[in-house]
Amino acid sequence: MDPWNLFINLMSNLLILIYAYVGNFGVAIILFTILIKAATHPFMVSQIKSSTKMQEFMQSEEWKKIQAKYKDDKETLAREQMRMYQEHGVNPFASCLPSLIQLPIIIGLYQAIIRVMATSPLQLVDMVRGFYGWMGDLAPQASLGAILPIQTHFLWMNLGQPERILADVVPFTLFGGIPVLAIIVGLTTYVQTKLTVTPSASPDDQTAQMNSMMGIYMPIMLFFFSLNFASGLAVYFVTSNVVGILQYALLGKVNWKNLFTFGPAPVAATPSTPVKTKNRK
Amino acid sequence: MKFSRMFLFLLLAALTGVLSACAPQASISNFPGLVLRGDKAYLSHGLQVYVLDVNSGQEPRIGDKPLRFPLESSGEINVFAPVGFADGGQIIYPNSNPSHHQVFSVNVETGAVNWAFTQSTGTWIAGPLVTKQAIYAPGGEGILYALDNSGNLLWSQKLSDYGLWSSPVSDGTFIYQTSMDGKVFALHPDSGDMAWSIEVDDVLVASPLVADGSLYVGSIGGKLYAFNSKNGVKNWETKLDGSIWSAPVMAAETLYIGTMIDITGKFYALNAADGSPKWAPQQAIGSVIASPLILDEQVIFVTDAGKVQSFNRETGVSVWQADVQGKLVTPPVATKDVILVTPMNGEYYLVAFNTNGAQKWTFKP
Repeated sequence: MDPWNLFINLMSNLLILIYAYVGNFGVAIILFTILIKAATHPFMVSQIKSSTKMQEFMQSEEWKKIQAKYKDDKETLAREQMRMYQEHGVNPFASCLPSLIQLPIIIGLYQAIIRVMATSPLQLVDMVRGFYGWMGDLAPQASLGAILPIQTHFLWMNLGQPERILADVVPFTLFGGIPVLAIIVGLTTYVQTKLTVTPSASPDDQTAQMNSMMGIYMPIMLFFFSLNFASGLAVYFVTSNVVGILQYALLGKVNWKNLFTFGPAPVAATPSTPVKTKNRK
Repeated sequence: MKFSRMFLFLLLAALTGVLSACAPQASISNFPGLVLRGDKAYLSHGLQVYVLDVNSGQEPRIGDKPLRFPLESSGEINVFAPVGFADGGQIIYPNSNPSHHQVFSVNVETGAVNWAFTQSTGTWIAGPLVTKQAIYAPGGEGILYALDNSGNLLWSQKLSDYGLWSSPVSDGTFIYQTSMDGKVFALHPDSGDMAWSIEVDDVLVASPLVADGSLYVGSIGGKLYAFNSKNGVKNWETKLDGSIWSAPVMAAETLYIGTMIDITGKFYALNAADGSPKWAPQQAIGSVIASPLILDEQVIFVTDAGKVQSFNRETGVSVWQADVQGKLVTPPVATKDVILVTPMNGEYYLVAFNTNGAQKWTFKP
């Protein structure tokens, strides 16, 4: 079996173990998401620190000066930027590394939920095949016979089905009922994107434009995903968004002013900060 | 719009495409369904049911288009369950798209939709059973529906809080249905009233087999049960190596069934009277998910490693074996001269063999 499949199996069995103890798949998804988010929290902290440091660096007088000076000479500009990175001990890719570590874990979490939810016999084959039989020896409630079939009812939802309410009362709506969970996914994604976006020094900055567009684009995209996919995934999206906001709040990085600001997030009007130069001997 | 904004927009559009491709589809994926009727094979394989001439592998055409159900594929219809055939030249197939809960009847010659049954709220997984009396469709929300030939509901019976993932079977007396939560039901075909039901401490995904007054049911836990089909009294049970995903087949009082043990499996031949082995279990190359096929003196098993293995059904001695690219998880079917297998995730959707294992033709849309 390939390493990625082994990893997904590990994640799936962790989710199964949680389900075996709590007995509710919706609660298991929520706890599993919180657990994985907590495990990847140090990487997130490291990423935020690096990106804040980078942001400060890019607001320095010296940086702005070389941007202006060599704006028509890209080659020299790149060379000067590299010199500055070296002089000040800044690694422009430092904030990417934690993201790269988090990404497979988050994708694994997502795929584990899909695998364990097993909405068809084909998916159940994969789930049974990857199941750690020894878990049943340790705890009878974690045996295959005890956990199957997975109880997918949670609150008003069947987690294996796309969610709608009042489908009989308002069948004329575009979506065949009211997609409450998809709306919550869209809203929480919007709130998270707006609250956690890093302020930019200039509204013309490409990063700022990208952030601004993501703030609109991601909620819409996840809303449409949640409309059609099993609602178990939408529960994951909502939990992930809420936990993400809480993580940023705990770190004091939530930017409440951004919530009702449209367009690129502006940076607070602060004087340019001098950059500490790395001591050289 | 500035160039950079346009670039960002295109980048995000591309990202959506990638995420849509990587993310699980709104449609589900499942074992393809394959049914033989006369000299035509009906293959349910994702977006459409393909109709093929068994001898040539060619699709019949309507005008300049091949005859498929639905005639035009769309993201709204997914077909995996084996189709049923009802009077009046009707093909019955459920739509397995989780957002649409329909059972369609289409004209076998033209593909025109006769009717659609839309009262179910669950995802359709299993194919219908069609008898002279009714069309019995097992719903993903745990309800068994009985429809008349025009798609009108005759009766419905809530059997489980879980989905019904197996097709019902009948011996003319009762309709038999298994459910995921380990229940076996016998229902009166006219009313849906329960004749008897029993529960085993296991998960049942496979359809049952009813033959000679017995009902045989395999479980994910690897147990094969034999019940008296009249009253549900257990005749015997036996534990096999691995899990059972499909119904056994029976010939000359012998049951043939395969199992999945992680990525391998076993082939079994058991005496129908007591479940004892007729010949020693054979090691399979790959897992055995699908029911085998009886063809004269051969029993033919397929595995998800793409193996087609033929054994002498009396002795268990290997007769021939063949390979195809892809997973074989659908029961093979055969006419007198042609054996058809349905690879999943392979180059072809259908591969035809002679009865001696020589490849005859292949089909891909």
